[in-house]
This record gives sequence, structure tokens and C-alpha cells, in this order.
Amino acid sequence: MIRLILGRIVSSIPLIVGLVTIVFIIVRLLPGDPMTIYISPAVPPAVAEQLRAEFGFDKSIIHQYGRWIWGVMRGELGFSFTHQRGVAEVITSAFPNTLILAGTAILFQLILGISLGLLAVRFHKSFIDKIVSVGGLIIYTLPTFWVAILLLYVFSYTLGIFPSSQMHSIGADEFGRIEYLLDLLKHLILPATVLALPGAAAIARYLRTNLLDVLHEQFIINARSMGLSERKIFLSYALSNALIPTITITGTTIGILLAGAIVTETIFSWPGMGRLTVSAIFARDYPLIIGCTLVAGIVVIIGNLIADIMYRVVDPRIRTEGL
Amino acid sequence: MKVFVKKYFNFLLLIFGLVVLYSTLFKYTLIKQSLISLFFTIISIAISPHKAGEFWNRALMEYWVAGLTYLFLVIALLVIIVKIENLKILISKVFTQRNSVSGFYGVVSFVLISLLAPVLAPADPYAQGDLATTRLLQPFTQGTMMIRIPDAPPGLEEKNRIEKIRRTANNYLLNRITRFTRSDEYTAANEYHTSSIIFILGTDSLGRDVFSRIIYGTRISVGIGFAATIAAMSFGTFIGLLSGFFFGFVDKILMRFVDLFIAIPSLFLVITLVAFLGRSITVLIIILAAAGWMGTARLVRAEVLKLREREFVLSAKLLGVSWFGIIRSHLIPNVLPVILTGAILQLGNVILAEAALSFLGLGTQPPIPSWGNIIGEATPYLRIAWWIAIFPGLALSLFVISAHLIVEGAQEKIQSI
Repeated sequence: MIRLILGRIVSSIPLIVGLVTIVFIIVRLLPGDPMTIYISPAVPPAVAEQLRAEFGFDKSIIHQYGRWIWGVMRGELGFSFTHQRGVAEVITSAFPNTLILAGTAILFQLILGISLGLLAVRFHKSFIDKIVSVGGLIIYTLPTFWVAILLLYVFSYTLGIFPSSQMHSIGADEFGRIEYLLDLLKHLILPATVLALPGAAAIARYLRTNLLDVLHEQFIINARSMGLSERKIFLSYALSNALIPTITITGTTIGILLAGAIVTETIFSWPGMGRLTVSAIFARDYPLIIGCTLVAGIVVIIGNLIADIMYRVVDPRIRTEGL
Repeated sequence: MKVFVKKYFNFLLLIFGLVVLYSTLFKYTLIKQSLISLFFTIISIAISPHKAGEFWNRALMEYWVAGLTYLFLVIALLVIIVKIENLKILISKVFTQRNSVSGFYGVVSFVLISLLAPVLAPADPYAQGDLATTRLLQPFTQGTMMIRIPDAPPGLEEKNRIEKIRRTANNYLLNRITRFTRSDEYTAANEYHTSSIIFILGTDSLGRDVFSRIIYGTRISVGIGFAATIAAMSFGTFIGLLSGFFFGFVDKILMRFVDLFIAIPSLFLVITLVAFLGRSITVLIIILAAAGWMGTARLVRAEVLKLREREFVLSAKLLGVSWFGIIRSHLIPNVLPVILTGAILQLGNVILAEAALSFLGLGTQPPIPSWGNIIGEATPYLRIAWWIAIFPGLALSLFVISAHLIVEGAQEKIQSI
């Protein structure tokens, strides 16, 4: 088992190296070198040359590439001039917020998806079943930002139940601990629901079809003939088999959500990675854009890794096949 | 099944008929002038081909396309009515699944809307007017549309007749000025032809007709979607064929490459590229294609790997058919259904991605309308004017759902083969 996990980790290292290389190439697609952005035209050419030499831009491209890799490995991603702080520092302050949002979204997605899927199977071929399977497809395909706007209009502007933006209310620092958490939760519900909906729809649909398939398998009939209780058959035979795709879907969404839900975070002004990236693009803060892309890519690779490992741990059929 | 197709077919006929009826009733002059413009431009080019560049005008293209599509619709309607049975059989053969049929009609309707945009839209998508009375109007408000056609360009007298007709038609199409208002004083102060208009879906913060903008936005969104999908599919198929056919070293390298691109979250990749390469529509198409070819490459590779062990490919190899010949006559025809299904799914995804980008302000730039950027421009006004943001999203959702319906049906069919 440990060998398997180690193997997966080792095999994702080339991906990360490739990602760093691609980002380097994208930066180099710009005319001139990255220093052109920082050096004002008023600076005398001699000083500009000196600055270039200081940052190593007079060296060969291979030398610069080596320097770039070395910098990334030590976590030196440059200086963000809109935030007047190091890029690494800006990202570390935004990342926990994304983590909170993504974690809640995944939780919502699992609860909603599994319960709807089970409901659909329990009332198979009924009205609820139809709603889950047709509504699931529709919700899965709806554009996220449109759903976000819809929910915002209904729940925030019309009904006034949830706040429309930010993570905390104004003056939240003075709240007690429980009040503070409740306030955070209130701000969390809308964006987390928006993020959770497509995943929940996918989980519900997969769970429904898989459960229906599994319930007709030979081993279920066998278990029934051996006199096991329906409850036990359902929980430990059927459900554990049908839940495997749920884990795969959750695994793939981990990466995407952690990388920062760009659109949702922008709509709800959630101070996470996604909104950071968008604001960096509008401010043309290139070091920050590069930093965000890099972090997002690495997070997705790690997310996929986790999904892959979980998948293998859960499903013995794949585990025995080896790497 | 046949009953179902028949039901839906009549539905399509109804839509076709309504479109033709609507445009003939309300847009008669526009259609007439478009067709005159097209006809006389062709004649002018035929008479003096060396001056073709002079007659060609990119701004007129949309009217020509709309006019032609209208003609096509009329002819199609006639043919359908005459030979209804044949077409029904054809359609029932292509789309046997009931979901596919409705999805297919959905996508077809959107393509028609985008081709017929100038004919279907009640007004110019950029037309504004009296801001004081036409800003943020609710759906189904009545207003006045004022149109002015400027005087024909001078110097027409000495030209020949063909030239004269062509120029008058072009003048009508290109130089028409549309304005909206709801006050009589405004109408009185300007010398325009006035007609009544109902803003079916309301107006936006700049007093533009939302319905017209959505119709024109269909063209931008669907157009970008198709272009990017075709580009992504071609590249993906190429890589997939190479990788599957030259199994081994080439395959390993190409697949690592694919893995790498899949590893980068596509919206992040797209946004980063947009940040560095600029925000024109061409760049957008290239970037969306660059972010979406990997799935096809994998799919095609898997299919080719399966096919290359089949008897007919092996025997072709034994017969000494060149690898290009094998790819062309054995692999591509067999991989095609998979590619097409993937393409439709990709179309939905690309249009979603374009909408998300434009929504953020990183895609199509205003004032050009696309579904995404209409919604994006409307978000600040959401609290007071929900209709601007909701309806383009509805169009977008309908398109994506149609695409998914086609794919669902097609996948069932492919699996059953």
C-alpha cells in the first residue's frame, strides 16, 4: 500500500516540473523580458542594464530557467506590486479562505448528492426519482455564474436571508467566538451551495444508477437467500459498492475547488485564490498571476493524486492490479 | 419512436413557419434590402471582377447571411411540406433517441438564431436613445423606436442603374440609425420614422434592448463555440491518431504532454493566457481551443488502440497500404462517431467557458454582446433589474442542456453498437 502511494507521488513530480516549465514559457511569450514592466522608461539605460544583471536577465535562457526553478523550489515567486508584499505571502494569506469555502462545498456536495441519490432509489420510478434524474442533468449543465446570480437575487436581494458578499460582516472582529462562526457560516452558505450543486447532481445521478445496477447483482440475491437483513444488505453490500464513483467525483472536485473557484469567488467577493487571480489580471500584476497559476496547478495535481489514491484504497479490484 | 419524431418534427415545422412569418411581417424591408444588396453585389462583381475589393464589405456580411438563411428557410419549408415523409425518415435514422431529437432541435434553433440575427432582432443591439426614459425598463414595456435612413451618398446620378440600386440598399443596411424613446418631446425634436416597439425582455443600463442583444449575442457565443470546438477537435484528433498509431515512444511523450495540460485547471490556464495574450476574439478562440483538445486526444487514442488490432486494419497493413491510407480509410471513419459525440459535449463546455470569461470581463469585450458579457454588465444592476442578467443565462443554459441531451442519446447508441 505504501509502495503504491509513494509510486503515485513520484509519478506526479514530472507533472509539476512540466507545469513550472509551461509557466516559464508563458512568461517568456511576452515581448521583452519581465523587467520591462518594472523599469520606467525614464531610467537611464546603464542603470536599467545594471538592474537586469542584478536579476539575472542578461544571462542565457538556460541559466534563467535554472534560476526560475530554483526560485520556485524555495518559494520565491517574486514581488506583487499591487499588494506591496511578496507573492508567496499574498497567496498564503488568501489560501486558507479558499480552503474553508472548498471544504464546506465538498461537505455540502456529499450530503446533498448522497441523500438525493438514496431518495431516488428508495422511491424508484416515482416523482422524486424523475426529479432527481432529470433535474440532476439540468443542474449539472447550468452555468455556475448564472446559478450564483440567481441565488444571490433570490436569497440575498429579495428575501434578505443571506449576505451577498465578503467573508465576514463589518465589525465581525469584535464578535464572540460563536457569533463569529455563525456569521462566517451565514456568508458561506450561498457560495458553498453554488460550488456544491454540480458535484451533488453528478453524485446523485451516479449513485442512483449504480445502486440500481448493484441491487440486481448476483451477490445481493445470494445475500438475501442467506437470510441477511435488508438493512445489512443495503448498507454493507450495495451501498459500499455504489459509493465508489462518489469518491472519484469528490476527488476530482477537490483539486478544482481548491485551486479557487474563480467565478464564484468573484461574484460573492470571497477573498480567496480565485478572486486574487482575477484582480491580479485586471491590475496586470504579472508576478502574482504567475504565482496563482503555479499554486493552482500544483494544488490540482495534488488533488488528483489524493483522488487516485483514495480510489485505489476503496476499490480492491484496482488495488490488486498494481500500478 | 416514430410517433415521437413526428410530434417533434411538427414542432420544428411550427418554429420554422413562425420565424418566416414573423420576419416577413416585421422585417420585410430589411430582408428585401439585404437580398437586393447581395444580388447586386454579385452582379457588380461578375461584371467587373477586377474591382471586387471595392464591392466587398465585411459589415454587410451579416445581412447577406441573414437574407440567404431566410431564403433557405422559405425553400426548406416548401420542400418539407411537399416531401414531408422523406425527411422524417432521414431524421429518425440519424437521431433514434428521443433526448437526442430534442437536443438536436435545440442546437439547430440556436444556429438558426445566430444566422438570422439581423432579421430576428427587433432592433439594433447597439441602439440607444433617450436615456432618461429608456434606461432599465421592465420586460414588456412599450416604447417608440425611431429610425432614420440618411440621404444616399452623393454622386449617384452619373452612375449606372445597378450601382445605384446597390448603393441605396447598402446605405439602408449600413447607415440606418436607430433610437429608442418613451417621451413625445424627444420624438418631436428629431426627424425620424417612428414605430412602436415592445421591449420583450426589457432594456439594460444603457437603454439597449436586451432581447436584441441576446439574439446578437447568440451569434458571438455560438460562433466562438463552434470555431474553438472545431480547432480543438482537429488538434486533439491529430494528436490522438499520432499517439495511437505510432504506439511506443511517440505515444509516451504525447500522453505525458496531454497529462500535463489536463493537470492545469483549464479556467486558470485560459485566464492566464488571456492575461498575457490580450482579449481579442481570435485570441479567445485559440486559447479556448488550447484548453480543450486533451479529452479528444485521449478518446481518439483509446479508439485507435482498439482498432489497430482489428482484422481489417491488420490485413490492410499486410496488403501494403501506407500508414496514411490506413489512417484515412480505416481509422478516421471508425473514430468519427466518438469524435462527433465528444465535439458536441465540447461545444457546450467551450460556450460555458467563453461565457464565464466574458462574464469576468476577460473574454468578448463590450459593446460587442455575448451571453457572458451581457450578464457581466448586468450584475451591478441585479438588485434593481434582474431581467438583464437572467435571460441571457437562460439562453446559455438551454444551449448547454441541448448539447448534453444529444450526447446522452448518442452515447447510449454508441454503447449499444
